[in-house]
Amino acid sequence: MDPVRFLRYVNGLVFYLVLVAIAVVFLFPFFWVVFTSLQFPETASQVPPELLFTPTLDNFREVFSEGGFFICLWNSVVVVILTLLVNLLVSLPSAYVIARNRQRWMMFLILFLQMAPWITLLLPWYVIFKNLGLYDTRLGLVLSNLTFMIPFTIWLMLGFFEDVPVEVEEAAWLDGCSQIGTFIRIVVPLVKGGIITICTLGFMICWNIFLFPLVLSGYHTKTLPVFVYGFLADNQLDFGPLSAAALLTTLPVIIFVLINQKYFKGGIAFGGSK
Amino acid sequence: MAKVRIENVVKRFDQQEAVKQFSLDIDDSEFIVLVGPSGCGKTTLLRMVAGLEKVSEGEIFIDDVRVTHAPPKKRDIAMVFQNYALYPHMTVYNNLAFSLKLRKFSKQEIREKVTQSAEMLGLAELLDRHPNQLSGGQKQRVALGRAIVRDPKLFLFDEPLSNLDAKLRVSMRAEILDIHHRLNSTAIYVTHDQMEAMTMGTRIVVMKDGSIQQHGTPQEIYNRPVNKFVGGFIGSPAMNLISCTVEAEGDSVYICSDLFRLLLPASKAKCLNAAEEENIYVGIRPETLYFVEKQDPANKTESFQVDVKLVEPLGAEQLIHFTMAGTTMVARLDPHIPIRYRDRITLGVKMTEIQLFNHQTEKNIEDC
Repeated sequence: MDPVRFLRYVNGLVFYLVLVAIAVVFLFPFFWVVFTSLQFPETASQVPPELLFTPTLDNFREVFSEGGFFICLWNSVVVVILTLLVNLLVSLPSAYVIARNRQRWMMFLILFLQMAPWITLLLPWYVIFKNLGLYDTRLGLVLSNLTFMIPFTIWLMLGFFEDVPVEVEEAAWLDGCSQIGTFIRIVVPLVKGGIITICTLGFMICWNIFLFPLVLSGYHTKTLPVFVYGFLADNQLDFGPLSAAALLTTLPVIIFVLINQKYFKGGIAFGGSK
Repeated sequence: MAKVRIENVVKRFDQQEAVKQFSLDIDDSEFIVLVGPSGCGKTTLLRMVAGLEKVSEGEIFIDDVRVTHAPPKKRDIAMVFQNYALYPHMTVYNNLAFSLKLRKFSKQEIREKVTQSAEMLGLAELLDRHPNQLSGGQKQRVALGRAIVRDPKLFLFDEPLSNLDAKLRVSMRAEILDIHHRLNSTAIYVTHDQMEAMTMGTRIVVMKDGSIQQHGTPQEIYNRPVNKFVGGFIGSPAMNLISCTVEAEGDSVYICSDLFRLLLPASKAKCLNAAEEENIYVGIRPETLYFVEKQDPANKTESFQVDVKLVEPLGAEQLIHFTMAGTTMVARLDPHIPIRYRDRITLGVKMTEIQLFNHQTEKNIEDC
């Protein structure tokens, strides 16, 4: 075989082997959760694990029958959707104004304020939310999510808005469109990729967030990650139901990302170039 | 159709004046071209007329209605941008229809107007495409169509042909003029290309450093530039400009350089005497130079000899480059004259057609 071709073949083989190894490392925990969720309790915690087993849906039945799964699911859905909606309503116009007025220093200020570790915010928030009657409310959870979602969204969307040519907006003004109308009918459709990226990332982050709901939610507003945590809090560790609950919590995110991955990949690259 | 009146308009960016005391009256159906080098303020002025730029001082009227601070949508104007500014997410049809939808036209009316404009511009088969599926020329026609469909009082063009290749530019120029004549509309057209300005405008406004240098018909500006800048800017190839000394000998006045001593005609000499110039700038257009078969040794006051540095055969003419007083000059000659590099040839000058500019003020001396 020609040495150059052989070298190219070896390079390709090594490249794909490395990719497979990385994929295994990242995907192994997920597949472990899937397998464990389908196993009986006796086999779930076995070491080494059994690769061939009779699957069961008992763990899922236990999760559904455990008090609160559907309430927690509903809480997660409501909090995430409200967070995303309010985030878009606040962040998109903000990013647009910063972009058009070339006030990038504002962006640095917003990001600078976010540099404090989130955990330092929890105690003050707990006290404030308790006093304002926001503790154990979905509104409180939405507000806590917005404190990081808004700066992140503005930062990501800034590049998208800066890439919309001003002349396109000016053409709309001359055609008779108001400034708000131009923003809604012309500018927003042109940054659709960025919006879908933000919604996808936002969904992932807000759906999975654990620390804020753990401290700021109570019996009525627990979200799914806190519900899953409940399986760890008891004296014994039920790997089967724990894995089933974790899988059920993860599935919506996986589906959402798979549906939007075309925009997600492009959006990250595009926004990141600024 | 609309009359436009621009009165003492000034535009400042911080302390810098981009447009200085600009005043101009534009009649119904005029096609005014604003021409000048980059940074002269022509686009800034156009944008102030459009309402896209705030006016620092002065007033703008359209049909005697003050629009100085009115928003763009209230001025009933349409603009064609240099980079087309089409709506990328809309089809050609929707690009054309957008302004009509905003004005609450019925679907039927919109369809009729869009179809009519599309047919006028050869876009009928492109209505379902998006801008990224169009060529540069097609995009520019869509931009034009978007302006036409609104039937505005005033058209504004901001260097619409700059991004097109030379051949397309020529054909689009003709198309724009054809539409202007058909619609009988008033238009303000901005360009840095003096050839475009000369071929398109009923009137040209030459600008420099935010001020009007001269305005008039293309022929007026070409034949009688008011200053050295206008003389050198308008015309292709550019006017030859050389610094000469003035010598008086009795009643005769001569202009002298390293290569010639030319007798001025009386009509030009009278302004020169009055000004008591010692040095002047002489403007000689390439076509006012002619080939002399053999120089008359007794009469060297109307011709001179030059060494050819470059010959550019253009088919219908040839351009001969030579140097005088350290300046490269160009002569436009008959293509059948056999001239080669390094030939020594004799050139005559049509002295009644040269321009004379004051050495200090650079103004045309004949405007005395």
